[in-house]
Parts: sequence; C-alpha cells; structure tokens
Amino acid sequence: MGERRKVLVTGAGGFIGGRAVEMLLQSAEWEVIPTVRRWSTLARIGRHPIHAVQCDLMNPDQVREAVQGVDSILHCAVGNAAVTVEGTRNLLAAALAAGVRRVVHFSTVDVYGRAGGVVDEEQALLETGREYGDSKIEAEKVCLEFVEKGLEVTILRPTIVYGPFSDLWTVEPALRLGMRNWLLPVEACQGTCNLVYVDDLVRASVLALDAPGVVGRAYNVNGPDRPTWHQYVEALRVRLSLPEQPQTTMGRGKITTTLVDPARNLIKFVFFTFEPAVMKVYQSSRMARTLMKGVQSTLRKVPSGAEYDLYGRGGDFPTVRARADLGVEPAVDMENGSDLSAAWIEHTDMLRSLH
Amino acid sequence: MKTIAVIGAGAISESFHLPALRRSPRDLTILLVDPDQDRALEVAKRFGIEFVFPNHRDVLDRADAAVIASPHHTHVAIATDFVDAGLPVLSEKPLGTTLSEVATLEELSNSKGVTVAVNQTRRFIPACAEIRDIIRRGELGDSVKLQAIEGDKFGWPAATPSMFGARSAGKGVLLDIGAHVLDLVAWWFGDDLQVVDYVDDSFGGSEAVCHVRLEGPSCEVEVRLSWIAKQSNAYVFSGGDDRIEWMVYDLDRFERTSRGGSSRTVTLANAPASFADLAPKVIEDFIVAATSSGRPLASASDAMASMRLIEECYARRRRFDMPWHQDQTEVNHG
Repeated sequence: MGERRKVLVTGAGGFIGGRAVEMLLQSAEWEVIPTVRRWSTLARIGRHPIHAVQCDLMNPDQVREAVQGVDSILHCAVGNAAVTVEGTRNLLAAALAAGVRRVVHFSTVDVYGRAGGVVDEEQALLETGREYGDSKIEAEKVCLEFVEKGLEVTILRPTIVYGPFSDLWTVEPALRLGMRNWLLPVEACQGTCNLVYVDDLVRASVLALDAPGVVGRAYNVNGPDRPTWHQYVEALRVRLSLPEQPQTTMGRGKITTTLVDPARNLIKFVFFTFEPAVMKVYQSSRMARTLMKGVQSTLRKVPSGAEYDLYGRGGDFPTVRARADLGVEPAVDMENGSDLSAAWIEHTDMLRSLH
Repeated sequence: MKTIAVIGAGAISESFHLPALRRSPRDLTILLVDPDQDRALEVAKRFGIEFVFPNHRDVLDRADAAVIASPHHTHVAIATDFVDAGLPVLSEKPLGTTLSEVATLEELSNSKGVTVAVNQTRRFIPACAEIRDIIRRGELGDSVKLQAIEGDKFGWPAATPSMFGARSAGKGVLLDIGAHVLDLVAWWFGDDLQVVDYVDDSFGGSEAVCHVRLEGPSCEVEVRLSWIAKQSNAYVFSGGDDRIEWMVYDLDRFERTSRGGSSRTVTLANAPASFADLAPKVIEDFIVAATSSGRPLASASDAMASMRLIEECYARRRRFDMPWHQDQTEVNHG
C-alpha cells in the first residue's frame, strides 16, 4: 500500500464534517486531518482514534499551519457570514500558498434563492436577504477567484442533508414529533423535500477530490427520491413509534405563527446576545428553568413563517451533472435514511428528556 | 494555609475553583500554573492573581497546598509530586485514569499522612446527602433499584483536546460524567458493587454514549450517560414502598412518592443555588481536612470504588449495535 494522501476536513465537529471524517477513516487511500474551531465539538468524532487540529478559519496563522503538507481539503465548516466568506478566503489563500492540490467547497442549493421547478446548476444565483444563502453565494465567488489564481476548487450544492447528528433535519423534527403537539397542518407540507442522506453527500465529496474536469464547476447533490415533507415527517414518526400529531387547519396554524414569530425573533436575539448570562440564570434558578423550558416548548410546537415557506415549496435540484462528471450515484432513499436516522434518535435517548 | 497553587488555567479553574478561592475568607495567596502562559496570564489578570508559573514543579517550594485542575491523565503525576513534598492536594475528578495509579497515590498519601481530596462535587449536594441517609436508614427496603440518566450535548469549553480521540486513551463519557455518577452510586450503596454489563459507542476513541448495569447486595443500578444529546438528567430510585426522583440540577429537593400514590417534594434548607456555589464548600472541606489531619468528604481511598467500577466497565467493553455505522470498523493507521 502506498503512502496515504492527507485530506483536511474543516468543520469536523459538525454534522457533515463529522461524517466525512468517519467515512474517510475507513479509507486506505486518505489520511484524514480533522480540524475544529472549538475542542468541545470533538465528542462525536473523538469516538474514533483521531488527532484533531485546532483551526479557526478567522485566524490566518492557524489556517496556514493547518494546511501544511495537505493534498486536499473538504471545506465543510459553517459559521456566520464573516466565517463563511472571509474564513473561506483565508482557507483558500493558505491552500494556494501551501500547494494544496484540490479543495471541495460545501455550498448549498439556497444559493438559488426561491427558484422553483427544475433547478440545475445553470440557474442564476439569487440573494434573498437571508444570511446563510447570501453568504454562501459570496463564498462561491471567493472560490472562483481562487480558481482564477490557479487553485483547484470544486463546489457542491447539497439539498436537505439529513441523517444521524443532523440537528436541523433529523433531531429537530424528531423532538417536535416527540413533544406530540407540533402544530403543522398536513396541507402545509406538500412541497418537495429534497432529502439527501449525509453518506451520499460525503461519497460525492470524496469523488470530487479526484474527478477530472470538475475544477471551477458547481454540482447539485440530491437524494435518489423526492418525497413530500409530509411523507418525510411521517416516515420519521412511524419509525419512532410516536402517535399521530394533533391536526390544525392552515388558517389557524398561520395565525399562530404570525403571533409567535416576533417573540421568537426577540428571544433568539436575547439568547445569542446574552448567552452566558442567560445560562447562568438557567442553572441557578428553578423558576427560570421552568419558564425557559415552557418558552422553548411553545416555540418548538409552532412552525415559523420560513418553515411554512420551505415545506410548501415545489422544486427539484437534479443531480444529473454530478452523476455525469463525478460519478455520483445517490444510494440511500428516504425509507432507508429514515430507518437509520430513527435508529440513531432512539439510541441517543433524546426523546426521553421531553417528558 | 496561606498559599495555594492552582494547577491548570482551564475552564474548571475559571468557573469553579478560582472564584471560590477568591471569595474565601482565609485571604489566600494564589499561584496559577499552566504550560499555556498566554492563557494563564489572561486568567490571572481576570482574577487579580500576581504569580503565574509554567510548571507545577516551580511552586513545590512556594505553595502550602495545591488544587489540581489539569487534564485528567496528568492528575496523578502532579499530585504525586506535591504529596511527595508533603503538600496536600485537592484534585479534580477523576483522580486518575487507572485504578493502579490511583492505588499507588492512595498508598503514598497514607504513608506520608498527607491529604489527597477529590472534587466529587455531588457529595456536597444536600439532596444527594439526604438520599444517602434515606438509603442507609433502610427506608427504601433492602432491594433498591436505581436508574441514573445523565448527559447533554457536550458543551464544556475544554481548553485542550485531551478528553477526545487518540489523546483520550479510549476513555470518554464514562471517565468524565461517570466519575461523578459511579462515585455517588458507591457512596449511596457501598463499595460492594459488581459490573454486570457495559456497552458503549467507541471505535477506539473516547466513548460518547455508554450504558452500565451494576449489582450490589442491596441494589440493581442502571446508568446511561451521554455527550451527544440532552438527557432527562433524572435519578429514579424504587424500593420498599417508596419511589424517589432526583433531578441533577435540583440541589435542594427531590420528589418522594409512596406506593399508595401520595407524592411530596422534599425540600432541604440552606442549599446552594448552583453547582458553582458548591465550590466554597469543596475548598473549605479540603482546607479543614488538610490542616487538621481529618478526612475530606471524598479522599483518594473513596475514589478507589468508582475507579474500580470504571476500570471493570472498560475491561468488559462491547459496542452498541449501530446500523448507521454498519460499515465502520475500528481503525488504527498507526
């Protein structure tokens, strides 16, 4: 066996980066170097005998040091707009200087804005005013700047990435189902749920590390089937052996959302601005704990306006180009992916904490 | 005792030990030790500490005692240097990472007559002490069942990666939260406990989820620990005609239900408001023991019981069935 090439994974403490590390550890070809901003995010990948490296993308010295001797990079890290854009710039500048051969940048189909119908990679990118999608558009521009400078960068645009450890698309729906009071009308969930199981995305990214003719190009990565959101939520519910949700009408649901959304935004602002103080109060006051749990429960059961928008939207993000150029073949359909996700949820015992 | 060295300028020193030492009425001089001098100076500045050193050996002839709050695997070696020099120590839990090293330190402590205390904070929680008394008085009968579930998504602001992956020597949540939980279990039910089963999710690194089953002459215990997801953080005892439910953050109360169904909240007076408020009690207990040749609430000898159980668990280690990891094997690329 020849010497393994080094692949650095940014955001290795996160959902996608963590899975990338786990799958690359099985590879005879790659030596994986996980990087994290905070050591506390290592609990998941620390289950494997890894040697992680600290790499805050906003610290150019740390980034320069981390990429030395690296063949390739899977850039999975996410953060606020500054991290997404300037952190990416720092990483690519360091990669170019260090002679890194290729970088695979994880973007998102959110770069297409609210485009519907069949959305392939030729679709124009569209800012919507939402930080995540807009900053990913900027980060893609940074990637293309560095392609011009001679660095090999390939961009992946995954859809709804789910599976074990996905806070957004696995844990959150499971917790809401587990609370048994999610006020989500069935008719609000008839949009297309473009699910891609995390393992399929990681396989695509590893293929992109060596595929020829993919530099400077972007690729949608979607799953093999196109369930509705209702079908996905139901698949999780059934597998978690949870009772059917209480039904509400579209009209009543949206009125509740209209009333709750301003409070949701205010609470988010207060929490993120004063997090240490809020946590101190939480830990020292029984009354505060009860109050905060009540607020969290209310926010969880009422879908936000943005969620209504997402769950009702049509649209398909075909993987045709990735199939042709990268050899990507998404293998995990919703049935299989939901089985694995629900098995993991049960393993974590997280639903027990709700009651 | 006038001068106390704090070894380690990490999160536990910052949030627990240093605030308590600063608030102590004993007017202690603090020497802060950490190989990361930038970090040490930053923390020292915040707490008004004048003396900062890179190595614990630098303070052996300056300190009267030490609080050891460095990475787990360094506790015993550092404690040994202090005890050898005749200086008492209060070590963070776990006192060590293996039973044999803890046993060697305990022998040294006994032969030198120098106090080695362990920060088993839970023993200072009034609710835990009251439950112990209830068990000891036999009010739960002679066959008690306990299910203890603890954990959350790991959020401790670890200053080093020593608890994870290859650096952890394959020991994770069991050595971390388990050092608290198994110490409590042994404190409640006595040392005569056996590991019946142990399963975790390690692939050669630090486990993040584990399940333990223990048996003793008068108890059956199930412990479930997690670094991955928020847990119920509840301890449920059943035995005789009673059921007790204690929630981890409730320092001053628990629920007690009789078999007839009547339930009441047992509330204890003068309990601290938060875990951080337990720190002055831990520090004072240590200083009193160290200066009076008394026993601290948790000594090196006491730590042996939980260390033995932890070691037995790791010796029996088997992996959960995890279908989402169906192709995953333990790797060692050297």
